[in-house]
Amino acid sequence: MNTCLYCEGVHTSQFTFSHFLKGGETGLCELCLKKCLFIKEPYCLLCGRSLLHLSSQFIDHDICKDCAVWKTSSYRGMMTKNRSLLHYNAFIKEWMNRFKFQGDYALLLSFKKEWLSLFYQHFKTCSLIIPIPLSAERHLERGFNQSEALASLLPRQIVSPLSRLHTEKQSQKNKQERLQEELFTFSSSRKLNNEEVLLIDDIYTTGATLYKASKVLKQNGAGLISAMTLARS
Amino acid sequence: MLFTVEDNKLVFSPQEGQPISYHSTYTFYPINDAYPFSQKLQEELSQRKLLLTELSVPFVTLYEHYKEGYVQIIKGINKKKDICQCNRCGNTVLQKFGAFPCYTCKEMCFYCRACIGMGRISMCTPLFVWSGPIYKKREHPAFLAWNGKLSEMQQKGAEAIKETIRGKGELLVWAACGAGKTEMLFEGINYALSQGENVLIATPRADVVRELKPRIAQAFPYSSVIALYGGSEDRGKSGAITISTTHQMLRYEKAFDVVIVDEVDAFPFSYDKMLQQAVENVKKQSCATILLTATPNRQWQREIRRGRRDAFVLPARYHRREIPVPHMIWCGNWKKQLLKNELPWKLKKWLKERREKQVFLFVPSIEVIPEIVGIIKKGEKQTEGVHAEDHDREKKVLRFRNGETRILVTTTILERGVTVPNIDVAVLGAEEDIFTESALVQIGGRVGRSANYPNGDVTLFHFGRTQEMIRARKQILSLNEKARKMGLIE
Repeated sequence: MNTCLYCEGVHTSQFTFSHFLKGGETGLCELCLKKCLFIKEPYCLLCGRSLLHLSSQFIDHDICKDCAVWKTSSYRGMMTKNRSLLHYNAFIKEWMNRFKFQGDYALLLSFKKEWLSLFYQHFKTCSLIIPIPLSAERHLERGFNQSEALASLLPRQIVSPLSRLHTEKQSQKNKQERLQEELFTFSSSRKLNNEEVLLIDDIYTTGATLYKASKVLKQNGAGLISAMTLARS
Repeated sequence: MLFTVEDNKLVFSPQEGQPISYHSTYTFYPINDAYPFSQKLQEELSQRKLLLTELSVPFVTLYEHYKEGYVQIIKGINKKKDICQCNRCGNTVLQKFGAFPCYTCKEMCFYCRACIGMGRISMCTPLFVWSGPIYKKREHPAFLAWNGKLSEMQQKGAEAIKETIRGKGELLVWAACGAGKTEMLFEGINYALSQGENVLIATPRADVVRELKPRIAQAFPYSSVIALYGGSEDRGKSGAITISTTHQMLRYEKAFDVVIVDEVDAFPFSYDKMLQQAVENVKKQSCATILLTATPNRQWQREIRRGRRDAFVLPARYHRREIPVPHMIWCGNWKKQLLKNELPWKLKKWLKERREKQVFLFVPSIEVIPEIVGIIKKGEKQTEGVHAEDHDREKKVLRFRNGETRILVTTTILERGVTVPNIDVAVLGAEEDIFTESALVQIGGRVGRSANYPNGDVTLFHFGRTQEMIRARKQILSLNEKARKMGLIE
């Protein structure tokens, strides 16, 4: 029987024929899956955050207050929507830590099935996938780019026309600092040709990273831009 | 990091190089005696194998020391055709390796998942080893400040341990739970320190390391004692006595003259190949090994019985009373009853009979804890549940020790180490796989440890007896029998 990618335990409540038929499938065990909170409806139509646990004063017609602020800023209309697979809880935090910072790439397959079905549900029509890049320094330190890794699971062409300017870690800044600086430049010689683009990142926190990337892409000829992230905090 | 091999030597070359694991053979530079090496690096790296990220010096310094012969660069992962081996933890299980598209090597790069918590080791990650003169901290002469009294049998054990340390042999010490193992070590450690030797005490859990450090430091006030566990402050230091978790031990190489492995049976993989390998790696060429256990596995028990393994057996507790023998009570399908929000009536009755005493209730899994706590709370308010991932774990255990909580529902995490006087213990679902022979003996060992309250009750509530339960009972019975024959029980 297969062991869990994360806890290395063998926990299944039932042993069925599908265990034989799907023999080589890897993923998380039932116990670990139980600790994940998959985002279900209702969610914010823009950023995809779950509205279930949000008090009503932060909701405005199916859109959360954070997104309402984005709509009034200069980033308005840069990104059509974001969808996230999971709620960023303690388990996902721990999982991310192992995947991203410790660099356990094998964990990538943990949510493969769910990640793919989220793609087919919302982003079937997109033609290009652009993972959010890392700075060269960070990339060297980690060995791989977690966004590229997540993008590689999806059945579309991956291009990387962006490059990252600053090297400080995002997670160590507050919202104000995040909003002010530019993060990306367009480094490809060929402009985009009004293609429908899907941005991929690991976490959507304030949305600043994704909005900034969209702006640069928009200025360089991208068509509709949306985003797909693994977790929404 | 990428290297080329020129003149049979590794040369760092980020442009044209290949991952270090691709180079099959290379030699190292001879030591340049005139080179003024960094003493900080010497202290940090002596007798260890570390990653670049674990060192405080930059790569440039490290590379310079390499060229002068003071540092060797070795592969993180050995790869031969289909076989991978991690040079830090010794992992060779193919399933425990992963691969990722590496930014450094620009191709798929294998890495070890078994020891990834200590920093990833992949095909392009070198390990650094110190090959210069070994760092030797100036130590004060050893002095044993402990002046407690050992019982007659403990004294015999202490002498056997000391003798083994002197003769650089291997000894298994099988002492019943609560026999006072730590105290038996002091004399031997003292002898080793007086010879200027390095002592390692390895134990499976960080809790134990933290608990042991002050005790050892108190006993040897003039010697340096360092404690190593994930996130400890003593990282990079060295001392005469090192107390370490199994994992931290993997960073050392040929470093110790005396290795004491505490609770051998409790290691994550019990004393299996990987751990044996790790212990072999940290030993110097001639090294004494002391293995401590309260519940040796069946193979060892057999070897001891047939005299094939050097062992010292201490079957009785220091207060000269029998170890309580577990009772077994059949309680039906308790899982089904839990679904109905009920406890088996036999367990309820057992709990009711113990209005005055504190009780440990062991259950097989974390998930059932909240339900059981909820049910018991209806009758007894001072009930709490605790498990390994509980953030308030230490607080809850402390409350139990202080007597504020009367019933503590827990998983097997508390089977070792926690000592509370005058308690009774029950196990619900003792037939589950998690309750192995050694786990059950350890659980039983929680009871009657203090001299003031040497008696207590251990009851296994089960839905069908297992071999493990029967063997656990047999083990305790035979220990008591042995103790009686040796005249250790009144």
